[in-house]
Amino acid sequence: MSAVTPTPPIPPRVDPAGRPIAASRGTRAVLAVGTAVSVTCFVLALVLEFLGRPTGGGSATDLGAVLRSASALEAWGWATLGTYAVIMSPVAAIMATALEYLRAGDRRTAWTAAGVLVVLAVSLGVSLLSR
Amino acid sequence: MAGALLRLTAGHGNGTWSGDRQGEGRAGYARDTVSVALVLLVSIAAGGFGSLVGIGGGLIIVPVLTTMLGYDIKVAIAASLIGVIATSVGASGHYLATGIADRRLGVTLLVATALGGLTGGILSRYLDARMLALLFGILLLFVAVQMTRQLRGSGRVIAAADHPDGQGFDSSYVEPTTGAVVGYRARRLPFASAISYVAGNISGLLGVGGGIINVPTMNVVMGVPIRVATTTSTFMLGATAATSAMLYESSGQLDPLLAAPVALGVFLGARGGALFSRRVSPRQLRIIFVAVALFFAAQMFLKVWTLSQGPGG
Repeated sequence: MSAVTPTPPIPPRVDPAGRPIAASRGTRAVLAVGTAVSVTCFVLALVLEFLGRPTGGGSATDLGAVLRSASALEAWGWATLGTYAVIMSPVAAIMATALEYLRAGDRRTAWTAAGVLVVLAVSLGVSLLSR
Repeated sequence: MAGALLRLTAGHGNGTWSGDRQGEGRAGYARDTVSVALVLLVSIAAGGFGSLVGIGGGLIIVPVLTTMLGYDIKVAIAASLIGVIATSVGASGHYLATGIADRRLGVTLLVATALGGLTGGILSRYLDARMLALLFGILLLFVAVQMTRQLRGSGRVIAAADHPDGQGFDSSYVEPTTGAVVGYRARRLPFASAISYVAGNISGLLGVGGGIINVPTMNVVMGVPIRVATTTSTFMLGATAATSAMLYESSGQLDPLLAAPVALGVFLGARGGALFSRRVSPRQLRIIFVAVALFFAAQMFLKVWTLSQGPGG
């Protein structure tokens, strides 16, 4: 039997300042999903609009109305879903970024990303309150 | 002439107000397939052209929707913001994968930029169409001047630091054209954050990406290499524009049926522009852009004058 040589631990990737470099796989996956979903919704909305089914309407925050419109194959419902997907994608990407930096041990950047999320949450709060 | 032609082509889709949807004061425009196709094509062209000259499509799409297709400027700005986010979301993944975009620097500047986007989104509610058109015209003039300076080679560019010393925002990337590892140190973070806040404000107010301010700030003020600055700015634009887009939606100015062709068009145009970027002369494109920016600036000032002459103006 040959002796198994233990694999040396892989050192963490660091930047020139010696800080760990966080992986970006999660953020990239979120962005890819956001792109795919929003493009699909927008293409569907355009096809439906060209087919003469643009009707629908109402408040975009009325999720029930949006889903009813989308399930009735109306362009408005799909365009609104696409808009949701587009707006939520960078928010989700910043969340993923915060988690990735937290995992990498770079707490300062993780907290900074959390700060960006706070600003986004304030914007959402202002928009909901000012309706 | 071009405006008149486009207005004729757009038919009744030229922003004819169709009344409030369910009495909520929401943006709603009567449209036909020709006008939807026209918005899509214009957005593809704006996205492609914007990508080729290194700016977002918003600087072109907002004036086109406003002065040629007759949309209300706030509705055009809201739709443009969705296009800005779509472009950022679509391109950032690739920039992160190549390791060129400096995510840590981007997230740090994003705090100020997103705050600016929030302020700009709130401020837009209190500014009328005339003021927004005036600000947009001034921005186009500013961009035209900046581009002209770049054409003359008078833009001051700080070289990247060769030997980062381990303090502050030191980082490095692999330059794709040479394969060399380029080290740099981002400096003057507080000053750059203040400028980023202004960029976020402009993005929220006028529906543009803000890259026209963020990129020179990172490059000239902070000493970040231009390739890192442009890719990092693209990563930042999505969250900045999302902050403002939520506010436009709540005030009823975000029309999803307009946002869909604009976002899809700008996104596809930017992708196409990136493919053609190596085949065209950047200098010639910039000259064309200066002419286009000056044309639309004049259109915007004309709109300000027209609105001033109208009822209550």
